[in-house]
Amino acid sequence: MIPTFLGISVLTFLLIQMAPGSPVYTRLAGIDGLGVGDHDSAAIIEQTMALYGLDKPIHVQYWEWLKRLVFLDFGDSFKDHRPVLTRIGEALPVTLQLNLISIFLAYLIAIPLGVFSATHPRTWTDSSITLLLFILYSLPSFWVAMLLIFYFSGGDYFNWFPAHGISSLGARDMTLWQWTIDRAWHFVLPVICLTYASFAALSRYMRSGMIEVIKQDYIRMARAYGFSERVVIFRYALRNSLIPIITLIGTLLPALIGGSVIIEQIFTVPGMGRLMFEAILGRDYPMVMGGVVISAFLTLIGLLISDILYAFVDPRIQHR
Amino acid sequence: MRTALQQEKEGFWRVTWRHFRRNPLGMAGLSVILFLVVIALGAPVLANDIPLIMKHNERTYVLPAVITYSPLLSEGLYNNFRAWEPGEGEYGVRPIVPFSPRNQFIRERNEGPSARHWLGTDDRGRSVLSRMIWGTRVSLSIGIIAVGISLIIGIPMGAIAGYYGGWVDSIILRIIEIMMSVPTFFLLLACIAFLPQSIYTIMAVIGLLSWMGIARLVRGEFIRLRDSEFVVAARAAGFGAPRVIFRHVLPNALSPVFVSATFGVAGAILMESGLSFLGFGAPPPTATWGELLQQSQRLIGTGVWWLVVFPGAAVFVTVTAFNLVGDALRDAMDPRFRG
Repeated sequence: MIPTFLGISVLTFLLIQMAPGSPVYTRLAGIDGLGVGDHDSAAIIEQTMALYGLDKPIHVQYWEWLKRLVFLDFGDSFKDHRPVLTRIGEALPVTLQLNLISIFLAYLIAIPLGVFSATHPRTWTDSSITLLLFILYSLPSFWVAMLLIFYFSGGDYFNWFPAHGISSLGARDMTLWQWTIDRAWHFVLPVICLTYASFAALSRYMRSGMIEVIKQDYIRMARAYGFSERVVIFRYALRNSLIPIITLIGTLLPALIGGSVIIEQIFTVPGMGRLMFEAILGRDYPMVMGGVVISAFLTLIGLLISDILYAFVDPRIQHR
Repeated sequence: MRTALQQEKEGFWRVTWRHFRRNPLGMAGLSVILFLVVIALGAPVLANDIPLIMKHNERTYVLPAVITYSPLLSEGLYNNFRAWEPGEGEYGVRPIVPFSPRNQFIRERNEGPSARHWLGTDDRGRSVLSRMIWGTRVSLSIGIIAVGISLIIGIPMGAIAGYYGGWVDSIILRIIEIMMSVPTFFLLLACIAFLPQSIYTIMAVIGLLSWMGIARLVRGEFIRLRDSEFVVAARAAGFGAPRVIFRHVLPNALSPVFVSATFGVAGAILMESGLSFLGFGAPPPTATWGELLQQSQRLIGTGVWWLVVFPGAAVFVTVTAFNLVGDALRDAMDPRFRG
């Protein structure tokens, strides 16, 4: 895991260092009356370079960055001079809230739907569910987001949900109950956009996993014993068919932590995706590096947990 | 021996096609893709301000959009075909959509669908239909070339890892692990934002960031096949490793790769339109589907529905078509799914 982590840090570091367009120039472009060719501005650029260590050779920069990394010091954001960790600490909970709700809903809908499809194979309901899921899976999320805003919050048709942000004005003075309702109201559209594609994919896996399990001998055995179909499906088949879709949590994790850049941008959700998008736009090097490394690190931990979970739900793994 | 092998190979494709043909959804997807390819290739004669055939200054020009004629060029007409009108004894037959994607009609901005502009106009008064027809080129070429690049990297990586095993395998697996734990879209955005903006950059970056799935598939197939009798026989016959890998093992490992590549095209098209939507797509004034959707984002609340519905539907139909073909291809290639 440590070599992987180092690999990630080198990858992001090299990528950002090779990028044209110094952050200093971008910073100075925002100050009035400073042309880059100026004699005075050249001195300011030099000072700023020294301040951020951008004048040192690349390997020294990386080494110093790595040393600070051990103490979880990612430096300050170029944009507002607040520590990178603080800004991530503000953005990560928002993304986690949004994506945990979405993953929970995805599993909540996908499991019963998959079981239903698998236990009624080749009926017209099964085929229409399959086709519907296929269509959902192929719908581009930014298009769905734009359509939802257009029809449900733009004011052109229905003005039911807010199109921007995650709280109303004055959310600080609300009681906990009011705050929760307000947050939920803001989350409806983004959660729909984040959920439909993953639940479509999960249902398809659930269906094929269940069909595979139902073919097993021990299911035939359970039926032969005269157990009711309900007991056979829910007591015996369901547990084993959950194994493949539990491991899929691992593939959902990068999105859980990284958030969706596009969806957060459309709905102006102040989460990780939007934070990173703005950092990349502003060439905020410490922010980009901190963000990529932290999300990659959390993803690695998540993958480890999902491996452990896999061994936990499937005892056969341990014997191998 | 060679002919026997070739017959075997043909047999596989013929069998696959026979099963594929029976899948109505797969065939529907394939027809949509062929239709899109025709549109993409035919864009210069489908949506253009340059006439298909024209008589000008006593000379007849056939398809001046495809062939550049020096008399027309020296007259400066190629920059200004829009303004050309046939004079006495001249004629010009314009394409079905007589607007190029760059023709701006300042007085017809943000107009809804009409007889003149079938799918309306955008915020600079450009024909949405014309921009969508030319956008097909960008989407399809980026999708296909990006997947091509990911195949060129992914197949050898997976083949080497799976064939040799041991420490080579561990290193390649580690690289794959590193690439997979960084959120792809962050990396994609960072690369695109820092590199010069062009469709070639987008193709290359999407390709470079999406070879891992292919590599893992190929690696799995090689591990399955490397101890088979035919591989052992090839090695015993004294063939070198490259020959065994590419001539003997690889052809047997390719069918899951084809399926995955088809899904990959759908994914790459989605990524490209997402990037364009965020303003990181092909540089303006290139017409792309995502760019039209991006415009609609600025126009929320003004009722400009044609900029939301049509380009998004184009992305959706294309992605669905590739996914349907991938699904049908998997069923047709895998003996377990054949009915």
